[in-house]
Amino acid sequence: MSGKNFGFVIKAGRQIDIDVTDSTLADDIALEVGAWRACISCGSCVATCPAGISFRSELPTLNRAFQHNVELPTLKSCFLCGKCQLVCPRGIPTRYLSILIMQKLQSRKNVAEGIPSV
Amino acid sequence: MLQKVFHPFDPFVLLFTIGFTFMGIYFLYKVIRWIEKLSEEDKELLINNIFTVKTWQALGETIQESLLHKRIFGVNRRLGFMHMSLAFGWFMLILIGNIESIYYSGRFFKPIFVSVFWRFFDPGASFPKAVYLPGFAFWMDFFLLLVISGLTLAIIKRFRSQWLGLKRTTRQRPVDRFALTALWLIFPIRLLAESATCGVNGTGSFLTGTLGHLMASSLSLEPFVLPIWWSYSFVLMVFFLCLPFTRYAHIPSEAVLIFFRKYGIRVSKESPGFTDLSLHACSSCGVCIDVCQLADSLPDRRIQSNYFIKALRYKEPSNVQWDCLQCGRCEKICPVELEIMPLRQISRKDMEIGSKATISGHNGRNGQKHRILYFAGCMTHLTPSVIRSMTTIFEQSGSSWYFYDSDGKSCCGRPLKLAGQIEGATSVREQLEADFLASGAELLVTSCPICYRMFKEDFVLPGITVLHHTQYILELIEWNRIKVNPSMLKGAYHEPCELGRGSGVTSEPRKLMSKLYQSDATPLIDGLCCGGSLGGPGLALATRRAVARSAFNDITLGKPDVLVTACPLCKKSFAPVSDIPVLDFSEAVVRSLILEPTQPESHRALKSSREIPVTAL
Repeated sequence: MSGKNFGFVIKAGRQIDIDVTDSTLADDIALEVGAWRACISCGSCVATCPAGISFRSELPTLNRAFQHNVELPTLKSCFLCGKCQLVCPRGIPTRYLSILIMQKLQSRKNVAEGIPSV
Repeated sequence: MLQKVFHPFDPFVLLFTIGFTFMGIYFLYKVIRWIEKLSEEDKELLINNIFTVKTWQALGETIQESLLHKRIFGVNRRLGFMHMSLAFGWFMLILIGNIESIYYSGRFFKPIFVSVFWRFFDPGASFPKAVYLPGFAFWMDFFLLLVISGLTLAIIKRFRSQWLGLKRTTRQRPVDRFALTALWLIFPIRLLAESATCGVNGTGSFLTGTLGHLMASSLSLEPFVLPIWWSYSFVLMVFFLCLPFTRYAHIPSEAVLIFFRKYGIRVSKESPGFTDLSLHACSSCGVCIDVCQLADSLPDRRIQSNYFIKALRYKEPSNVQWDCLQCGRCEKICPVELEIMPLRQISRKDMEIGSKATISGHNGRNGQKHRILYFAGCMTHLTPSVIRSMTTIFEQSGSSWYFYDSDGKSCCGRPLKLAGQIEGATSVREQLEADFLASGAELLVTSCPICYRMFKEDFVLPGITVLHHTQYILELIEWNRIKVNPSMLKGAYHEPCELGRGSGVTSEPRKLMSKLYQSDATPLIDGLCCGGSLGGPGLALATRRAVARSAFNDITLGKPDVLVTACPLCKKSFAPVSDIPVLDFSEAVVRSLILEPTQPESHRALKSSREIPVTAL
């Protein structure tokens, strides 16, 4: 990268590049469950999860949504038991969020593959 | 006169004939579509059972439900009378009218309109028959009066539903309202038409005769007769044309549903035909609205079953399927006995959640066999006091037991099922089933009613008895394996939906209450939902709290000192809204337990030889 030297460097892997970041998925979900932005990454959900999913780290992944192809494969092992919801100090409906994220991902995949939504 | 016998016809009957024929053809098409869209197994069930006694049983049930509406009577007598008088009354009018027309015309096969408009063609005794039977006129009038009395109630219900014992009545779609108006007009116009004809001819019984006589004495009736019959035929046509597209499609559909159900067909994802039939069979009677606990806290969201079914049937875009608590109160009260919970579950999209879920399995077992497996359940791990109490109870009883999910990494799969993720639920179920069977246990005790229901309903566990811990504890007490001292406090039992209504475990917890508390303030209401249900993922915390608060108020009307429940989720939901202690049964038992000194190992081995014979449970 050419240009002026400002005295600090931004590594490519750590920058949020608006050109390749797609926040529409995160925004869509926030429209329905605004509470998910209230996550403070306390980790209570992770501590109680019987499936060993780190929900708190899924949310930033979703927020960054690099290059349109965000995938949250760990949610496929979610039991939907709702324990994370009961322990969440911020009252985030994590169980519904889990469903909603998968729903949105699925419909995106369907659109990409040309499958009509039911 | 004689000509009339062989050619009873007038142009006005064409309107009725058009409407009726259309309805008949459309409905036949629907039935064929329903059968076409059944799964292969369901088609087989249909073919194998159609020529058995089940068809006769279904016929009996059809008369009982589609005509007499016995189940609605059980729910609300006034409402039952309303539905019965309309359905049974109308049916009897058709039946008697038909017999009368056969009797006087002497012909069995004739166009349908002949019997429908028989009074027009034969005002009474105009045919040369040896004996005129005045009975026909009387019974026709009697059943017309019955229908009109039901109609009056229906009109009252629309404007003052409280008078019929309903807090709310169903809000209708415009098409339904249109068809409803046509239906309401049919009988008063029929009364006028028959009265006019009878008035002109001086015949008729107590209703049409009297009214006809009054009408004839005050004006010259002749010119009015035909127009009234035209309008009668017209409203019939309108009603029949609307019928397939409105709630009145339930009239024929319910009968078909009863037959299919008798043959063993149930709602499933594989049989969209039966699902569609179930949606058509909802009469939208509205008894599901008042029992819904969300009717008060979410009045503007039409989530009650009849609205939900409508949304599915007419494919209205709505997200209501995520809002229901699935407590099952509407399913229990539904007079058509629709499988509402399965309908809700399959309406939730299957989208790979849980498809890769794995349970940890009880690796710590080390090849040892234990007669009893204890499955606490996910939620119980959030109420450690329940696990501690169960441990104490198992220790005191001297049983040989194994804590299956002590690592908290197993799930029964029901949460996935409730959220419509059938694929994931099946995968979890299969893993657990295999592991349970491999363990060699004879008894599976769980602390969670959600798990209990899943084990009972979906799991196939030959040789393993599944018990909820309330049943197990009661057995222990009755077999003197543990001893309790009843507390002086006044207790009230909150029945969890999944345990009472869902799994039919109602008497054991109540018996246990009488052993634990000297006075029992358990209310006589059908189990309420605590608001914590896993059934409604879309519900906000505030709504859940509101449900919990109102349920708590209803349950504690008897001013108990302590609230006892049998579900960790209920305990968790009530704790924030309760001003009295909320205990699980296991905790309540441990509080009243007469502790025995801990037995040495050898002693325990001796004791475990007199285990409860699980077969006797």
